[in-house]
Amino acid sequence: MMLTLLSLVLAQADVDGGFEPLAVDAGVVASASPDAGAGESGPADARGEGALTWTPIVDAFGEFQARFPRDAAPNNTFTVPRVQLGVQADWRGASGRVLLEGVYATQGGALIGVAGDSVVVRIREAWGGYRWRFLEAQLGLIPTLVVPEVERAFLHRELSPDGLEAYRVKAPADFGGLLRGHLPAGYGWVGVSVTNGEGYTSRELNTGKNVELAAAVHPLPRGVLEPLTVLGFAMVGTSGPSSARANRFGGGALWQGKTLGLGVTAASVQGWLDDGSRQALLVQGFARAELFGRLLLAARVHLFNRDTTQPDQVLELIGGVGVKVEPVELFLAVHRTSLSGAALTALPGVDSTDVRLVVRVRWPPLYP
Amino acid sequence: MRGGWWCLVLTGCVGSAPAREIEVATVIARNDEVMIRSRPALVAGRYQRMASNAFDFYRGNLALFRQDWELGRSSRSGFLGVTPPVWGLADPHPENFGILIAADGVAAIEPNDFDSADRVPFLFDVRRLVGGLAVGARLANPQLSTAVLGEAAARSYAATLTALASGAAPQRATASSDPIAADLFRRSQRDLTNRAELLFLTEVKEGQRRFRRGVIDPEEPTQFLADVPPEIVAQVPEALRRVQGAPGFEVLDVVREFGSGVASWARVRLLVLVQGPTEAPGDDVILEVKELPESMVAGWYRPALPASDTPARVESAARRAWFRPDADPRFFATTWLGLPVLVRTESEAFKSVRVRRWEGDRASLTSLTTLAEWTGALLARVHAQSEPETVRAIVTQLERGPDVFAAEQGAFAEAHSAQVLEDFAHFQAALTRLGPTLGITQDPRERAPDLASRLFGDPTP
Repeated sequence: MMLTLLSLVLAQADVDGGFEPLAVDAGVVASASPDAGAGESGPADARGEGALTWTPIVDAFGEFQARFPRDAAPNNTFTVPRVQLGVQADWRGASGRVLLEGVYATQGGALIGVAGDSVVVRIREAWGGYRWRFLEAQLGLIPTLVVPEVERAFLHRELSPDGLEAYRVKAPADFGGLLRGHLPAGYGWVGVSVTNGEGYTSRELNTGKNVELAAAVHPLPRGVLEPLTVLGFAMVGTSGPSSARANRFGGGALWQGKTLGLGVTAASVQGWLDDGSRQALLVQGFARAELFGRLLLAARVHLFNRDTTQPDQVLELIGGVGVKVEPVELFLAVHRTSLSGAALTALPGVDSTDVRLVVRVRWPPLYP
Repeated sequence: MRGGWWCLVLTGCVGSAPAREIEVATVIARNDEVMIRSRPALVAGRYQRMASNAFDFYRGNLALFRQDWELGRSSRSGFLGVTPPVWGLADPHPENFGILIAADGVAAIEPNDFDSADRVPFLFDVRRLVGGLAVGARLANPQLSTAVLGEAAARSYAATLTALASGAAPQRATASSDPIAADLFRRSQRDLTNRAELLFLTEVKEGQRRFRRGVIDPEEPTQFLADVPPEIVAQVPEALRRVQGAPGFEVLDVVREFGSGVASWARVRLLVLVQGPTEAPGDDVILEVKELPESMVAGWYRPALPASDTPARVESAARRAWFRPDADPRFFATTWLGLPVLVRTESEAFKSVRVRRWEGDRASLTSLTTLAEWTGALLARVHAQSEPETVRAIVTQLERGPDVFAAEQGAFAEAHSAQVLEDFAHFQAALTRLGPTLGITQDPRERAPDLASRLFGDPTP
């Protein structure tokens, strides 16, 4: 039954936001030409896709980490960096998703009755949407436009979240709405979102809304270069109750193949961590490959210049080798974080070398 | 509406205030967001207190100090090297030192606030101390060179830590002839003799001692004692279970104390009157039950944690930091009604350093320099309780150039204290611009549960 439902979802394979139902056997992660003929396809309910489908989402990481900080004693720990459980429903053009995640409760003062650093459950995504012809809209606690698109190229979040998220440059989800226009003939999409701007982990604090324009274009949607994606984004916004500037501009090139993923992105940051005057720059690159249907190789590098007016950098190098027996993946990874300039003394315990054994269970198989 | 109607749906409406003002307000408010949503009136009271003078602002601005550290503004140094973290205090400003009277009856100057104690870079503590000394000095005697105070504290810190690493015995600060310490000891002895806390805070009616209610000191109109709901009073012995075994233990009265402290102004604070060794009202004892916050530097050195939970973090920090672990014989931390709390002696003999008393000869360069020296030495004594290899690594760094180290901290003290005064003005302006809770408001649906609401109480006298 589940496979039947899933096959219906995969057959639809044209919802192009956050996680999308994926064509598992296609050569492109971003689905097999999700935008092919979008402009001509007509309303979804006129395409014979009237069955209600439910797609379960399960994503859990377990990790053993041996950490060798430069300025502290070595330590090792078992941890669960991510536990997500959700469901997506699609019916004709309508869709909706609820995604829960487990997180540590680390703030005091409010959670009376929750002892210590307990794991609590919160909502990561909760949205409803509708697609009509080439237009797709979502409203609620939505995945943002850019981070999920980049994660679809890397696919191995268990090794590292995208630098945009890790350095609090952009949130992966936020309260708000988005409108995405799918370009004809599989050329990709252009989207606009209006969000609170504080990310999904915080309530609205500022008075304005953050507006983002983004586009993911497949310049050659036919043939072997189909997975090639050119990404661009511009976000103008603020954060915090005093409306500190938080603008983001950037872009990159991605290769979103099923067995090969590549990416280079850069983001200019205007205003960071409530300092509206701060200018920063994030550059990252990654590569992953799946060989022989089982062997996984992945590497990525983040270079975050926290202050473009002076030496103040964080450099991360991550490499891993793993095996995959769907839906389980096992990685042995090395993660080196190196600081320089002002960051060297400003970030206690961050400069380190970590050796990690990571196991991940995910469904659907290419859930980013 | 600021920025026009389009601010509601579009952006470009960056706050018109100076960027630093926005940052000061945002960092402090974001740090307190959970508290603001559950007890906004208490946080508003805290902010009013912080806005009343620059040193109170400093006492409440640890979140901003952390932000400046993490963004590289306060952390630049040639002496941090690859030193491991110390078991530190995280907030060792001068008012967090004072007299405690240990189980052996000896009064000594000790660190007396461990709310934020955690693993920190040694320099974080040193700079929090020299910054506080310099801010206080700017208020008490604007003619003074704050750099000199920073240098004195750093020099004393380095010398003491080096000596302790070489095997010297830790010193207990039991007496001093400098005006500030002498003033502490003199007033402590006076108030110990006459049990001043019983005189100030309680009254005897029909042979039974009870707390007074209302404002106790007219000069502190926001500080007052109030009734506690009976169902919470009934729970108080549970908080005191570690002292209940004492002969004659009996809770005589409980009040909610409002308006005390700065960083912990919004936290739950109860005073508990306990029967003394005899039934005579003259030997009754007052205990304070104070809600503890999470560590302000939580997340540093992750995934390693300083302790299994907040009470363990705070209590172990105190035991390590003091010359003897029973420097306050009734001090312990526990969990009560779901809150991490600290229980300690409430005694007027436990005098803390107070910047407002830096006047006359207590505000002279000599006096403040001596204060800087002994607070620096005490901080070194605390840090010396860290792992020996950690202490050796720090000493190695310091020995690269003790004079340069002192000069570096002196320069930091001067620059940082000037920045704090600017930030204080920014904070006042932000409070005027954004309102009493810095722009974060409580949704009525997220009011604290009934029991918690009554525990938090109303801070209006």
